[in-house]
Amino acid sequence: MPSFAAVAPNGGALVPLQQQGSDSSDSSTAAVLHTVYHRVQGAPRILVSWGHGNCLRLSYLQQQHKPENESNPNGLQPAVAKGNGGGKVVEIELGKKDENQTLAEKRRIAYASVQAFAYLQSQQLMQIEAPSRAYGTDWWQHVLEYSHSISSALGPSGAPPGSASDVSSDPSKARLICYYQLTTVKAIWDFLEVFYVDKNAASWLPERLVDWLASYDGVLSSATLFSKLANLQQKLLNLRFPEDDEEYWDGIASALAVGWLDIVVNLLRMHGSYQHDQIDNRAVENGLVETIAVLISKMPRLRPSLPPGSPGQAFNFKPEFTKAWERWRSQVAKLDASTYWGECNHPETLRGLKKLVKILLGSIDDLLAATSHWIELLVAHLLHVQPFSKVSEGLASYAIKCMESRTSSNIDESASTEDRLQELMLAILGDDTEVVIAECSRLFDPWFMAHMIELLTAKSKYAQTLLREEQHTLGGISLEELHRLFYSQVLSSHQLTWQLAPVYLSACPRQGLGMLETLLIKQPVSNSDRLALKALEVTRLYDLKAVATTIHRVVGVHHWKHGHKGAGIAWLQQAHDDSRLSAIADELLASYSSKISGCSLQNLEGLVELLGPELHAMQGLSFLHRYSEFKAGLQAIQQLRAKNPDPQKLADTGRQAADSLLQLLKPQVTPERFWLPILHDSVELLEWPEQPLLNVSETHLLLNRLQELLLSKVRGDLEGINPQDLTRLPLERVRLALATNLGRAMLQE
Amino acid sequence: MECSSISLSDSVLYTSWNYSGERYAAACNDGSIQIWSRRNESGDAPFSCTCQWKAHNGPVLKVVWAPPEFGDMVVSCSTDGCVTLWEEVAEGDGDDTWRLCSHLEQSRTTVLDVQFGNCLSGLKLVTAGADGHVKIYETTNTLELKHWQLQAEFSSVPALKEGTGKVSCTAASISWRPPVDSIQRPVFVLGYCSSSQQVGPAKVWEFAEAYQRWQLLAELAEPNEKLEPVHHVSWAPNVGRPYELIAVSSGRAVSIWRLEFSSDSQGRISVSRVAHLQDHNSEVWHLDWDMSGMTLATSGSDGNVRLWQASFGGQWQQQGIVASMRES
Repeated sequence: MPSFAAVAPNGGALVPLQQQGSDSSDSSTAAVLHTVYHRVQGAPRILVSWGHGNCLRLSYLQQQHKPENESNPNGLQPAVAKGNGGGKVVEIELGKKDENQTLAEKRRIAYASVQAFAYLQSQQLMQIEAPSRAYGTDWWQHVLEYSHSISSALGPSGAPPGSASDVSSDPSKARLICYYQLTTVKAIWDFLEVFYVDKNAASWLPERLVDWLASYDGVLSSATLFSKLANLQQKLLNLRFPEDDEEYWDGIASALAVGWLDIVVNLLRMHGSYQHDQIDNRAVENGLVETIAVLISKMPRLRPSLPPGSPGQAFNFKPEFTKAWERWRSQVAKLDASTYWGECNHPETLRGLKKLVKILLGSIDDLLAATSHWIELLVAHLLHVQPFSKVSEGLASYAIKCMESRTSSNIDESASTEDRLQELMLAILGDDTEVVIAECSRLFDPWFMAHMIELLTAKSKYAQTLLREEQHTLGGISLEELHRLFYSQVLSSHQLTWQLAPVYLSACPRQGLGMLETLLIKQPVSNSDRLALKALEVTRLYDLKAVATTIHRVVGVHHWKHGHKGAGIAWLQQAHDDSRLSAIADELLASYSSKISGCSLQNLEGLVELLGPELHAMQGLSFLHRYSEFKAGLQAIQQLRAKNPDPQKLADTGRQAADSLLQLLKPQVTPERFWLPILHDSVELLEWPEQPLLNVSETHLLLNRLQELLLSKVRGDLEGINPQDLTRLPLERVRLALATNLGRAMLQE
Repeated sequence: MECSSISLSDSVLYTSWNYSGERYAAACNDGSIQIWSRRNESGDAPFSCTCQWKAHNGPVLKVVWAPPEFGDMVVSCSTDGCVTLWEEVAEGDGDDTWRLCSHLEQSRTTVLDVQFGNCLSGLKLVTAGADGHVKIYETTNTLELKHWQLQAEFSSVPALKEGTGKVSCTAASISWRPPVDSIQRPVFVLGYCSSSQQVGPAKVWEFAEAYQRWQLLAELAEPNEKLEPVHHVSWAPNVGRPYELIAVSSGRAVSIWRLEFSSDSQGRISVSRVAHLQDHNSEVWHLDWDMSGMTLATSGSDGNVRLWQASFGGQWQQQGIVASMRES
C-alpha cells in the first residue's frame, strides 16, 4: 500500500504518540514527549517496564561503577557511587493529551460512546446472521444512528452568536456550553457524517454545509465570521444608531453570505428607521430595509425543512425549488433596478443594502469580501452562485479554488493545527480516505480513530477494503482492528476504564481475544474479590474458560497463603485445580495426623466441612472428608460409653464407624501413609467388647492393607511414613487386635 | 503525564514490578530486598516500602516475581552465587511476612539472571551464571515451592563445552517466550554481556521433548557480524501474530528479530533481523514490550527512553522520547 505510506504521518507511523502540532517531518528526530527530572549523579541507569495499557514505568537508578580491569576476580562486585542523590521510579501515561479535555471528561465520553459502539456491532452481527431481517434498513442508517449518539456524547452543537439557537446569552445554558467546550472533534465528526454516512444528505448537500458551518464556524480558526459576529454583538449593545456603523453592514452581509438568515433579519430589524421617535423622513429608507428583510425571509432553500420560526422557505423537490428560486431571484433583480434607491437619503444604509442585494444576486467580489474562511466562501458560492449545481462531484476542486482565492486575498498565516484541519476537511470533501485516516490520526486521539472508522466504512466500498484488508506488515491485522486495539490499550491504562476495553477487543477478530486474556490476567485480582468477580464476569461473557481458571487459581492461592484458608479452598475448587487442592489436602492431613490423638480438631474439621461433599472426585479431599466422619464416629462411641447407653444404639454407632473405616480403606481412597494411623484408630472397633463388628472378609481387607504397608517397607518406597512407626512394637497391638477380631468373627459365622 | 513516583536509595541495583503492576521489588547492593506496595486497595495511595530483609551475602543483582498463580513470591540472585525464593505468607496472628521458601545452592559463581517459566510440566527456573553456564530447576509442586530439582545444566558458550577456555560475563539477560493460547512452552532466549568474543550472540533455547534435553534453536546474529555484548533481551508478547519478535540490545544498538516457527514436522524456524536501531548513540541498557507487543521502549546510557513502533510498511521507527534531566 505505497500510496498510504506516502501520506501517513511521520512517513507511515501507525499511531503517533506525539502531541499534535509538534510534528516533525524527519523521522530520525522524534519529539520529546516528556522530561523526567531526577537527582541521580551522572548518567542514570534506566529500567523500563510497561504497566497497564499505555503506562510506562521508568526506574532511574544510580549507575554502578565497575572496575575497569576485567581480569580482576572481584570485577563483579558493584561499587556504589558516592553521592546523596538517589534513584526514582516514575509512571508515565503515554498518548496524546488534549489540554481542553480533562481526564474525567475523557472518561465521560468513553462511557457514553461504548454503548453506541456495542449496539452497532450487534447490529452488524445480526445482519451477517440473518440478512433477510435487516430488510428495509440500510447499513448506513444504522451507522447514522450510531453517529448521532456519539455526536451527542460529544456535547451539544453550537450556533453563531445572535442566532435563534444561540444560547450563550442565557446564563444557565452558557455554563453548559462552557463545560462541554465545542471542540474540533465534534466538528470533524459531524463533517464526516455528512459526507461518509448520510446518503440523504447528498440531495441537499449545500444546505447541510450551511448548517454545519453554523454550528462549527467558531472552531475552524481564530478569524472567522463567528468571531466577527461575536464582536459585533458586543458593540451593538452600546450603539444607538447601528446603521451609521460600517461593521453593522459588514456583519449583516457576512451572515447573509453564509445563509444565517435569522441573524440577518434580526440585525436588519435593529435599523434605526424602525424607531418610532423619528424626526427625519425615513419612510423610503425604512421601506427598502423592510423589502430586503421580507425578501430574505422568503428566500427559497433546497432542504426538507427549516427550524421552526426561522426565515426562508424550504423546498424538498428540486423542480419546485428551481421555480421558486427563479421567481424570487427576479424579485431581487427588480428591487436592484428600482428607482427608490435614489430617494434613500441615508448613504450608509444605501451602501449597505446595495451590498446585500449584490450578495443575493451572487456577486463574486462581494461574497469574497463578506467571508473570511475558505469554507465560508465555499458555502456562500453554493448558496448564491450555484444553487442548482450537482455538487457532490468536484466539490474538492471547487473548495481548492475557494481556498486559493482566500489565501491570495487574505495572507494570514495560520498555526499548523489549523493547516492540518484544512487538509483534513479538503480530504473529506474529496473523498480521499487515505489522507482522512492519516490526518485524523495526526490530529485526534485513539478514541476518535477507533470510532470514526465506522463512519468511513458506512457506505464507501473503497474505505471498506482499505480498512478491513488484513495487512501482512501489521502482523495480519487490518487497520480497523489496529485502531480498536490501540484504543483498548488506552482504556486499559486506567482502573476506571479497563472494563470498557472488552467491548472493543471483542470486535477485533485477530488479536482481540489474545489481548483480552492478557488484560484480564494482569488485573490485580488478588487485591479484591470484587475485582476478581468483575474479571470473571468478563470471562463468562466472552467464554474465556482458561482465563477464568487462572483467575480462580490466583485468588485461591492468594487467600490460602494469606491465612484465609476457607476462601482459598473455595476459589481453588472453582478452578478445579486438582494438584493444588490435593496439596492443600496433604497439608491439612499433615496437621490432622499431627493432632490425630488430640481433641483440638475443631478448626480443621470446619475446613473439611467446607470442602463439602461435592469434592468426592478429589482423592485427597474425599479422604479427608471420610476421615473426619470416621473420627467423629469414634468420638461418638466414647461419649456413648461414658453415659452407659442402650446397647443397641451403641452397636449401631459402632457399626457406622466400622463402615466409615471400610470406606476409608477401599482402594484409591486413602493415601498409603495414613493407613497406619487409621489402623491404630481401628483397634477400638476391633476389640469391641459386645460382639465382633467386622466380619471375616472385612477383617481380611484390613489385614491386606497392613501387609501392603510392610511390603512397601521392604521395597523401601514408603513416602511420607516414618519407618520407625513400622517397627515391631507399634504394629504388635494392631496385629493382635486384627487376629482377635478374625477369630471372633469366624466363630460367629 | 507523570503519575506517581517513588524515591529509591542509592544502593538499589535492580527493580521489578509484579505481574499486575501493583507491587514493586528492589534489589540492593547491601544484599537486601525491598518490597514496595500501595497501602490501600483502590490503588491511589502512594507506594511505601512494606518490607525489607537481608537476603544475600553479596549484592543482589536481580529480583524477579513469580507468576501470580504461585502467590506473592520473588526469586533473587546474587554475586554470592545463591538463588533464593521468598514468599509472603500470613503468620499465626494474620500479619503478612516474607519468609525464605527455598534456597537453591549454587556454586561460587555469581548468578547474573534468573527467570520463571510457568510450563505445563511444572514451574521452571532458569539461572545464568557468570561463567556462561545455564541451570534449569524444576518443581512439580504447585503450592509449596520448597523442593526444586536441577533439571538441566549446560553451557551457553560452545568453547566451554569442549572444556577449553574460561569466560567471565558481567551481565546476562533471560526472557521466556510468552505463553501462546495460555500455554507456556519451554523456550527462552538468553544473552550474555562479556568482552570475550567466545560468548557469542543471544541464543534461543528450547526443551526438546523427544530427546529430553535443551537444545539450541537459533542464534540471533547475522553471518560474519561483529558481535557486541548483549545488555538485555525481551521476547515480545504475542496476542495473535503469526510470527514472534525478540528485541535484543547489544552494544549501542537495538535489534528486533523475527522468528517464524513453521508448522512442518521438522520444526525448522526461520530467523531474520527486521530492525537494527541505532538512534541511541550510546549503550542501550534495558528494553521492554508493551502488552500488545506493538510498541518497544528502550533505555540508553544517554538518559533517554525511546519508543518504537512499526510503520505500515513494516519499518521500525522512533515514535517519541522520554528525556531525563538532573535536578539542579
